Amino acid sequence: MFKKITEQLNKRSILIFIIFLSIAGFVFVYNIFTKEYSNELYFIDVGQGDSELLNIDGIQILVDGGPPNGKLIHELSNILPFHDRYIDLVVITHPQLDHFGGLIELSKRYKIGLVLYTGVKSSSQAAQDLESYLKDENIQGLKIAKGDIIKYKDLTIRVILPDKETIKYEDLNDSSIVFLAEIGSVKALLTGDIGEEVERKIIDEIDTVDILKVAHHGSKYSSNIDFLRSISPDVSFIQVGKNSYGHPSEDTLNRLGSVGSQIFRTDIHGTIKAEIENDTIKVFTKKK
Amino acid sequence: MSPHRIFFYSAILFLTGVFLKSIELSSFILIISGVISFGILIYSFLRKRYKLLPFILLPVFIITGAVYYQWDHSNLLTKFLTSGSFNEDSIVVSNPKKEEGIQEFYIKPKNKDSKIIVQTRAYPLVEYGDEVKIEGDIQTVEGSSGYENFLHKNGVVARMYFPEKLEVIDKNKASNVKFFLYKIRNKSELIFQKLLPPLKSALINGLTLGGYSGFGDEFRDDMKKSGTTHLVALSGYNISILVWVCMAFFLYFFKRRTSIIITLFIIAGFVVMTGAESSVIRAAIMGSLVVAASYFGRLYDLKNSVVFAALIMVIFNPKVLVFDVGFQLSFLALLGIVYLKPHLDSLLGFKDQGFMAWKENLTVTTAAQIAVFPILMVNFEYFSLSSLIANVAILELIPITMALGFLILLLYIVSYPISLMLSWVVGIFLSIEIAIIKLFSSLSIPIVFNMNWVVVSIYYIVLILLIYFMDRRAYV
Repeated sequence: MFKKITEQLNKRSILIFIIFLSIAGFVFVYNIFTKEYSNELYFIDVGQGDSELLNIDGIQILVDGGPPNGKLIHELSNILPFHDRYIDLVVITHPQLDHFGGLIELSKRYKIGLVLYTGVKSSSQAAQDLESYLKDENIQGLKIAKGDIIKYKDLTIRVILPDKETIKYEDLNDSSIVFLAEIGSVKALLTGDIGEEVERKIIDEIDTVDILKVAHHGSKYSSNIDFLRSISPDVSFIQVGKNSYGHPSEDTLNRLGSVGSQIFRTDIHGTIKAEIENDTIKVFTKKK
Repeated sequence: MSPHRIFFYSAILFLTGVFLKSIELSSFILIISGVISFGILIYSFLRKRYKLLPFILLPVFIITGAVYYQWDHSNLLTKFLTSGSFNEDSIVVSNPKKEEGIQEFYIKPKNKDSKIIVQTRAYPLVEYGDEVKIEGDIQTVEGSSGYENFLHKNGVVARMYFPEKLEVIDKNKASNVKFFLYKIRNKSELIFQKLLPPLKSALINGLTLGGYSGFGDEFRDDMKKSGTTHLVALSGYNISILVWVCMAFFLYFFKRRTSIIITLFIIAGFVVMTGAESSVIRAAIMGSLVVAASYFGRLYDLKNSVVFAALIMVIFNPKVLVFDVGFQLSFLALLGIVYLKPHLDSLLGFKDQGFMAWKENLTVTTAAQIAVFPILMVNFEYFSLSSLIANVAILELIPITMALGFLILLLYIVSYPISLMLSWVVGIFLSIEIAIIKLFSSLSIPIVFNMNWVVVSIYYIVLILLIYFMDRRAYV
């Protein structure tokens, strides 16, 4: 009985199968040889947490993964093409659940090239779970700190923090990785969860920037006015969701406004894309 | 009366007894028993068929059914736990479900035979068979709602929300077989997640292995509104596709007999690893009867086969008759297709299958929907008229999607790139299916109705009479 069914379905199935395999092969080849890449910086709506994606010249660098609520995976599937199951670099700014929680699910579904982190250990069960999942998937980790530089074509990433002092701070937030990404002539500063004390520490190390990822979800204890005046961002992005901390605080919003920065927030705008072409930044939001 | 008819009627009466006790209409038991006994008495005297007199005792089966249900229920009652704080080493006895940051699983304390349902945060991740130190508040599951009765059907007597403390201290402390099979099942879900974006991986996972996880509230709502939720409920359909794929695959390497044996093992493993759902078990039992009948050279009688399957399942777990929607839908859909479809075919003048089998799919879907309509209304309070069209549009694509799904899993072991490219192919089918589901969700024409058991009973009595008279007409 089975041989008969197999024979009947065989001819038709094989034909259909070959057609589809050709289509798949065509898609595969097309994507490798004809892709023109744009430079994009995504501020992903993961609720109350941080996650940014640098989609530069065909490579992907994910900074933080938000909390473990499934949102990162969902949003990424809208950003990345269906056949791209590979994230080149994942940066964990500091080991707090609202920054690395989503990475466990990510490491199960996507291949990751390398994880960059501070080396600061967290005793939480979730952090240990993440470490063991990354080990299971044979994903390497590399510690980065002040002075490290990552280069790829037009992209240069300069790591500003942590340094020898901040890495020893008791408050995990203050030990966050902070880096400046230069995409062509556009500069973006990603600040993790640092507080104003740390911001003051690095004022002299940074010139003006075009894009700022506002520290600690717009907490009033970050985004110090002197710091903001010094870096003078054109556009600021706040990653925030429903929370009981009062993020983002009115003070912070006012300070940002006073230095002339445009403000976008994921709780209002959803996932936000900043497209960088030559010297221009175009911002696209999911919701208006 | 011939043996097979005696079996048929006594089994029906047994099930009736279980049914009446489940819905707590014990008084009806006596009434119906009386009616039947009296009816047989009168009938045998009127028609002078005194050989029927012993059958006055048939209603004993109703009482047996009721008593059996009660016995099983009192067993459950002995396992009840009082609400309050709970702090005991327990074993995880189910394959945890994970949904958007929440894990749900059953535990059994090491020194008691009671099951507790636990809902907790996404981490630490818990596996079947884990021994856990767990501390928190539990609440007794009383049985005062459909959901609570459903939990009772699964043997769960208490629930715990977000325990204060949860720590895995040992692994694989329950059934080794289940541990192994669940690992395969979870790994299969993971393979789909690695190859496809979230919604597509959730859909193909649901189609091949059953389950509602990973869809998100929005798409689950879309499935409900388009009447396509049943696609991700396991059924004999999945089994037949799996059989086809396995046989086609193994016949390349082995002889027919060996292939059948390997396939049967895989089927058994499949049933266990997907959680032994009622719909699958029903199909397995009835399928075995077909095979057994042909092997022993006996005639296969569908009515008896259905009743036999129901009987076995109810004996294993009496609560399944009233409190397992999957059980009801599975049997009713089958009966609907068997008894209604031929009449629909003749009414509509359908003689062939039609382009992409649309005629076939239409009558099958309509027959099944007519049969399950009241159950859907009672349990989900939602029925969409456009679901007929949605199902006709989508059904033809399902077998090849399922088959490709199984194939992808097999090929992943051999070659990641090949399974990846195959996943792009199946991704096209999945996109079409998702689009159809979303489209018909937006085109949903809901019927909202207040159903109760009285209306349901009348509906089925009318339906049965209709079928009876249509059958008679067909043979005249």
